[in-house]
Amino acid sequence: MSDRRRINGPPGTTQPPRFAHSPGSARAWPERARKPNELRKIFLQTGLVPSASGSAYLELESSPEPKPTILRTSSTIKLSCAVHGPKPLPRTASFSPNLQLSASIKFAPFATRIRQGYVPDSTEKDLGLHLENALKGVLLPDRWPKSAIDIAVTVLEGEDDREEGSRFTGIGLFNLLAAAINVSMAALADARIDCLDLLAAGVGAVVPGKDGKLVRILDPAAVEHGEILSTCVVGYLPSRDEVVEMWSYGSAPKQSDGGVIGYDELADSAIAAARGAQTVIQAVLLESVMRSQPASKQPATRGEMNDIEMNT
Amino acid sequence: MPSADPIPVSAMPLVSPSALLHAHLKQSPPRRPSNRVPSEPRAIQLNVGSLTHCNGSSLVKVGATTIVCGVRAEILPVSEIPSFRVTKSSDRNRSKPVQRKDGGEGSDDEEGYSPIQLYNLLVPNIELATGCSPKHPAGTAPSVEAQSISQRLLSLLHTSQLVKTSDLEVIYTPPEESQDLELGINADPEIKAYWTLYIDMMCISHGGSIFDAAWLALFAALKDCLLPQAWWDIDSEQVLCSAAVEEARRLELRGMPVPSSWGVFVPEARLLDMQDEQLDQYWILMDTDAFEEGTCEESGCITVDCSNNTDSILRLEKSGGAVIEIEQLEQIAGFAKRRWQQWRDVLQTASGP
Repeated sequence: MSDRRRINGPPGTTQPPRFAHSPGSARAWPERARKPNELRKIFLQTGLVPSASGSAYLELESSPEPKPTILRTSSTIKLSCAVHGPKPLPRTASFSPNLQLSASIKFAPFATRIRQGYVPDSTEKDLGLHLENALKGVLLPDRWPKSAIDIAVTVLEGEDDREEGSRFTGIGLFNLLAAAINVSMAALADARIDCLDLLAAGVGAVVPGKDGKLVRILDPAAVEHGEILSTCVVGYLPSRDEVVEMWSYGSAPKQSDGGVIGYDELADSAIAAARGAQTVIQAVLLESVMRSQPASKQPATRGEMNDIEMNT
Repeated sequence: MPSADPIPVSAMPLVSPSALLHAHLKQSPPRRPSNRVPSEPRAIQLNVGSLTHCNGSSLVKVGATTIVCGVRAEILPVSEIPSFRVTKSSDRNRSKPVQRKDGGEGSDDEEGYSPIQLYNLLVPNIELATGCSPKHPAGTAPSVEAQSISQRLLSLLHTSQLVKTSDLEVIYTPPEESQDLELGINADPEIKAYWTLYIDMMCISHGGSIFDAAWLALFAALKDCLLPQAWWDIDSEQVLCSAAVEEARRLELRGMPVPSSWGVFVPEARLLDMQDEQLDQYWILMDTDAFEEGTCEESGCITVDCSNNTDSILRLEKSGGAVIEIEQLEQIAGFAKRRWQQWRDVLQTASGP
C-alpha cells in the first residue's frame, strides 16, 4: 500500500534480516529468576509533556542480557501517556450529560521485533477498547457534562516473546495492557482529574513448574516461559476492592480442587500483582505532589515565566 | 470595582502573547519569557541505544521538546526493484569487494543520482499524533506539519549525502572456479541486495523547533546504528546475516549538519510608544519554543556543517515577514555555528544504556 501522507520505502518490499544459524549463536532463552510473587521493577515518572493536562512515562525493566548479540531479546516495556482535557465537545457532536472518554494505544514502528508500519491494526484497537473500559470504571463522568477527554498511550518498546510474531498475542499483550492502564492512571492523577480510586492493573499466570506441578506466578514475562497454560489481566480498585476490567485466556477450571489451580486463584494472582503496582503508582504520585507543593507558596517563582510589570 | 482574583501568571501567554513577549524583550538587556537571551539555544539532552529492537536509537530533549528516534534496517533484494539498473559507481572505490576503502570523503563522492535516492533506501517519518500537544490529537492522519517535517528531513538527508551508498550494499563475489571466459561467465562482484533504513521518530512532547530536534535525533540514531554482517547465500538464494556483534559495523556518516531555527519578533503597532522613535524595532530569537513560534511571523532555518574546520551552509530557509537582510543572515550564521559546537559537545558525551 502507498500512503500519500508519509514517505514510503522502496518500490519493492523489504524483508527483515534473516540470521544464519551458527553454533556460537545458539539461542538460549532467559529463564525466570524471580520468585513467583515478585514483580519486575517499575519506573514511573509524571509531567514530561508540559503542554498536556497530564502525562506519565512508565518503564517495566528487565534483567540485563548475559551475552551481547544483535538478536537482543528483552522483556522491557516502555510507554508514554498524554492526557488532554477535559475540553468542550466540538459543535458537531451530539449533546451528552457525561464526560466522553476516548483512549487509544499506538505502537511505534520500532516497538516490536518485526517492524510494523503506521497503519493501526486490530491489536491496537483491541487494546484501546480494553483500556477505555478500564478507565471508565474509575472516572466520574457526570462531573464534566458536554466534555471530552483524550488519553493517548504510545508504546515505545513492547515486550518480546519466544515466538516469531510481529505483534503480540497472549502474555505480551496482557502485560502491555496492564502497563498501559497503570501509566494512564498516573497521567490522569497528574492532570488532577477526580477519580474514584487509584486504578492499578496486574497480570497473573499459571505455568508448569519444574516438578511437573502447576505454579501460580505474578507478572509473567513472555520471554521467560516456554509454555503458559492460562493467564489473566485485572484492572483493580484497591480501596473499594472492585474489579473494573478483566481479560483472560487459556483453560482453567472454575474452582480450585486439590492440585488443580482454578480460575479464582488465577484472578487472585492478578489482583495481587495489581496491588503491588498500586503501591508504586501511589508513591510516585505522592512524591510529585510533594515536589509541586512548595512552589505554590512562593508566587514569584511560579512556572518558568518571569513575573514582570507589563506596560502597554 | 477591581476583581478579587487577579489573572494568574500562567494565563498571560493566552491573553496577550505578543504583549507578554514584547514586555520581556524590551528590557535591558533583553530576556525571553524562558529567561534566555535572544541568541541562546536551549540545552540538549541525548540518550542513545535505549531501545532493544532497533539497530540504532536515540532520545533527544531540547527544552520541552522530546523526540524518540529508532532506526530499523531491512533487506531489499535487487530482484524486488522493478527497474533496477546495474551501476558500477561504487565499485571504483573498492580495492577488494569484501573490505571497504578507508579513504577520505572526497573519494566517496557519488555522481548523478545515488541508489539511496533512486530506490528510497532512507525512509524518515515523524509521528506527531501522539498527544504531544493539544493541536496534535492521537490517532489522526499525519498533519501538514508532520508531512512537512518528514519531507524536510528526507531532503536534508539527500542534500548532505549523510549516508554512503557503499555502507548499504550487500555484494556477492562468485568464486574463481565459476569463471568461464569461453561461455561469457565472469566473476565480477555484483550487488545482490541493499539495506533499507527505516528512520521513525515519535514526538513525545511538542515544545517548538521540532525540525531541529528531529534532525538531531535522526543523526544520533544513525550514528548509533549497527548493521549486522550480511552476505548472499548462493545455496538458499537469500541474504543471511550474522548475529555476532563483533562482525557488525557502524555507518560512516559524512559530516555533521546541524539545523538552527529562528524567528523574528516584530511588536504590534499598538504596543509601541508614540514618543519612541524606534518604529522599526525587532528581535531575532534563536531556537524558538512553542510560545514564541506562535508569536513570530517571520521564521527560518539555517543548516551549517563545521566539520573538518570548514564552515559551510548546506541549506537556508526563510518564510514570512520582511525584516531579515544580509547582515542579519550573517549574524544568524554565527549563532548557528555556536549551536553546532553545542551539539558536537553533547554528542561526544552521549550516554549509553
